[in-house]
Amino acid sequence: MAQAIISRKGGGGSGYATVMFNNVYALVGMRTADLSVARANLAATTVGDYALFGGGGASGYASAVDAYDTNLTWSTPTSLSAYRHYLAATTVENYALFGGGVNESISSTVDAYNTSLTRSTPTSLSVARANLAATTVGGYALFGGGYNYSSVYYSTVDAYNTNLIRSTPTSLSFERANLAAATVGNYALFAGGQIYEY
Amino acid sequence: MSTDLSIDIVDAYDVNLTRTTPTRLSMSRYGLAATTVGDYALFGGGYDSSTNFSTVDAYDSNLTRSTPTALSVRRTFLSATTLGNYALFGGGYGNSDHLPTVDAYDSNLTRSTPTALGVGRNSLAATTVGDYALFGGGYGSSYSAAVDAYYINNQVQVYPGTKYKLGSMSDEATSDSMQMITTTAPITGYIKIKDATIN
Repeated sequence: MAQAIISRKGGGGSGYATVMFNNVYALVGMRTADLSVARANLAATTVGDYALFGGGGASGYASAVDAYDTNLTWSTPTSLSAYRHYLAATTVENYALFGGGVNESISSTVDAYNTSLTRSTPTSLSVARANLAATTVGGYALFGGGYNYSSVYYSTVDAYNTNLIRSTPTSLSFERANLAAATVGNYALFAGGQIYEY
Repeated sequence: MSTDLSIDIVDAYDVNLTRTTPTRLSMSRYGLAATTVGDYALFGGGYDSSTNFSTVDAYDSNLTRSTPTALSVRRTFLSATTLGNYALFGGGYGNSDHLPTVDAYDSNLTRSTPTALGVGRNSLAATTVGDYALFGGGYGSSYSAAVDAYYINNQVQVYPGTKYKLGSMSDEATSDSMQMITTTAPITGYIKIKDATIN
């Protein structure tokens, strides 16, 4: 148990040693059921009672989706509609969205999984791209930035509302790939990234 | 002549999707990871084409930037998720190796280093479901199917005869064998051990 402190060795007839706990957390790691396919550059997000890992690549590209429920029971829902890696994922209300990526070509595909893990395919991204980032603010899932593997970097942002209707808000202030995204309070943040100038 | 440029720009979108550009990252970098804990969005690790970074930038809900304690190891292409009051950064590539390191930041941005991933790897993915933070896939010595699950332990083992007050529970363990007391996390309270060795 981390950070437990022996504060007093018992004496005076009590014969007790006291171990004090003050806001003690202990993070414990363990291995659970493996993914159905070994792969890297996959994406993950959570919808309802399921954590989803989708896409990725190894010797080939993966369309597999692996689901873990709150008891870590593993299942494999319907695969992505297109195999790809370097995609991004986030969740807006009752939908987990996996967007973009690359296989032999650049993908604009968006796959949506509802809380029953039924897949649908809403309107694609406005621009096909990989190595993008995603996060959710208010009622919008945002996919920002990306790269087309042909020397073009993007500042495009696509927004999906809770009905999976797409809009395209103001672009990022600078095009880039391999950025990261997170949300705090009322703000979605896209930070860092990379471009390659030829 | 071509140049690989890393970027420090941060774009912020509010709930109406209006964009602003808050203070930039403290260091330009890519291949970083992000997640949110308490009132902070955290961006950790990354690379600038020559150096791996351990830098963590924190933005609060007013988009004010601070730089908490760095990751314990410089690394890029790591992954991040949040479990309760902990933001976890796991895996990555650094020191010419695929790393198993996990760093945890609480809502006060204090860093700790829990158990490492079972297999060192980069380019993995992370998310949280119920009481578990999951790190899945990635590349180590080979492509990985491993999934590491982290949970917050809220159990304390007590000896027979031990008196304890843990959270709202106060009692004396009277059985002949060890007892596992489940309380709320974080654990606050005490146990009083009589005639026993504390390990």
